[in-house]
Amino acid sequence: MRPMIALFNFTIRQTLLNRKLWLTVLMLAAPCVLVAVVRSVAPPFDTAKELWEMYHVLAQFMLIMGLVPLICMVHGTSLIGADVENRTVVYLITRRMRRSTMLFVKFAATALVLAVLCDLAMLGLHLCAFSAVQMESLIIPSRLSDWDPAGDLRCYLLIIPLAVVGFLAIFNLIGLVSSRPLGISVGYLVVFELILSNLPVRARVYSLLHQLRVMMADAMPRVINLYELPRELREELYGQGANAVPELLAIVLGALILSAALITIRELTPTRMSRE
Amino acid sequence: MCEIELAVIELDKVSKWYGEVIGLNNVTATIGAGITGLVGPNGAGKSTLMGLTMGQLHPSKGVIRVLGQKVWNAPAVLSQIGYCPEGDVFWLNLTGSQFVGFLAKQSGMSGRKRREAVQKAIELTGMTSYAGRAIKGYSKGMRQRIKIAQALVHSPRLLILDEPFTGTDPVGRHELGNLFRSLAEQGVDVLISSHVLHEVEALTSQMLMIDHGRIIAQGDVHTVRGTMHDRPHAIRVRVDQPRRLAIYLAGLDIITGVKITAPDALMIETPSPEQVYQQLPGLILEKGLTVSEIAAADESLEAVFDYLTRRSG
Repeated sequence: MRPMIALFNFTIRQTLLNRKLWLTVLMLAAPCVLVAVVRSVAPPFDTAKELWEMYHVLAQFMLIMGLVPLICMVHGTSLIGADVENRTVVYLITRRMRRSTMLFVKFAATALVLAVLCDLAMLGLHLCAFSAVQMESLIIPSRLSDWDPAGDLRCYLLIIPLAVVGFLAIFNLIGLVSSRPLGISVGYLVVFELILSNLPVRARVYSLLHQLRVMMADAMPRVINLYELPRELREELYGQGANAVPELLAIVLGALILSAALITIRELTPTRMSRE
Repeated sequence: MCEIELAVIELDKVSKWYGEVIGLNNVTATIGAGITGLVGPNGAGKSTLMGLTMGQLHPSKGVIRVLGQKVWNAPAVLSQIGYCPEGDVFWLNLTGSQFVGFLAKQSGMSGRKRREAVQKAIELTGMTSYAGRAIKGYSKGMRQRIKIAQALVHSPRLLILDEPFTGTDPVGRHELGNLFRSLAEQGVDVLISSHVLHEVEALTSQMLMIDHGRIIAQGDVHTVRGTMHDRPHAIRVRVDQPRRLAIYLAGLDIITGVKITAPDALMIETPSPEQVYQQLPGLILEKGLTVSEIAAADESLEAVFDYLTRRSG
């Protein structure tokens, strides 16, 4: 147990000291900055609908469906690869720890750091969007009469860590499978997550973005109106009140089990990774 | 039975291919207790053999056993090995003591025992004064020493050192050599690789010589030299009248060649060095010559290796 705790703490430390963290923080600050710019440049909101749309569009499309996958791609593809490339992995695999355990511990530590950062970004977005806004002074349309921004925030704060865990597991797997993980990851994001997940095909159930949308539509039914899809398709894809958590966790588990199998049978040398 | 107990590393028909490149070619070898030198030129297959021994690489064919067990993904056996890899392999943002301390934790050590072990390993490698500094500020020699410290911190049974003298100054090399010798005396088995033959020769006479992925000789250097019957042995004699001695030697059956190499030295070539060592003193006394040195000129590791690589090449 001690080596696992040591590696967990060490991975957190290394992630926090990594130069990539600055890039991550800058990316995550973007929604807050955008809200601040909109609120300082544009005229004040007249209706709650405008505020509702801005808040959910930035939270969902920019943060959860845009920045979270990108950040997970940057960190996930090099979760083991960074140690393999600079050969420090040799110290880890020649100690008292199985390779799969090493993978799980590093995954858990990185996921924790990223989930906390992404949740902080969500919190920042919420504060920027609602600070100094008098909800009573806004015209509230009937369908938003029972809108509870704090309730939506709670949903997002719970969904974001699931998104982080899901994307980190997928990109870690891509990092282990491919010698060009970033290229493959971008291809995966565009083709599978952005295009295929929006089509009424069976394969979409394996898409994380689809599962996240189902989850959000289930937790906050009104957000289904944000998805620019024909009504029937929207209903078919997201309007069934399904609980997507088990499906998402099954995808994560599958990706992690596959990664564990790969790391157990693979030679973790830079030459090997580049040859493949 | 005794031989099995002494085998620290066993390679049974081990081959390793990197695509079409052969890293190791059908190697069968047994590495016993004590210090063993793994020598060969750059690209001979030393690091491949070490990678296989450490469970970093999979053999394409054959079986490797370390301390009697297979090593791939086997924490039980790997935790008994201390490994010092070749080159700059670090998390550069750590200090020396953080680096060794973290790897001590990875070996399951904790609390006071860990702190003492870290301190001892750092002390043994002469890094006490620099342990608090970041590794990125270390010289090559210091980096080498701290890598050795991490290999020692968990008191391993077997030390595998890949080019441990690289970047160290002569004093450092001497100190590290003494450290490895003292560890071996305490019962730690050491496999040490180097392409600088005299460094290893100063530590041990037990060698595993490798070239083009093949083991070309194994065992004690002098024994290996003794088995090379197709190569006449060279004996250097420092004598006041080399020309006179050469004339007498030319008449002996056991001498195949004599060459005057300096005004006071000649080189004898013979297939039977023992007989030459027996007969030479008598001949010298009989002829009234003054001799200051009689020594084997080609029993050094370098000479033996040179013969072997020329023959295998």
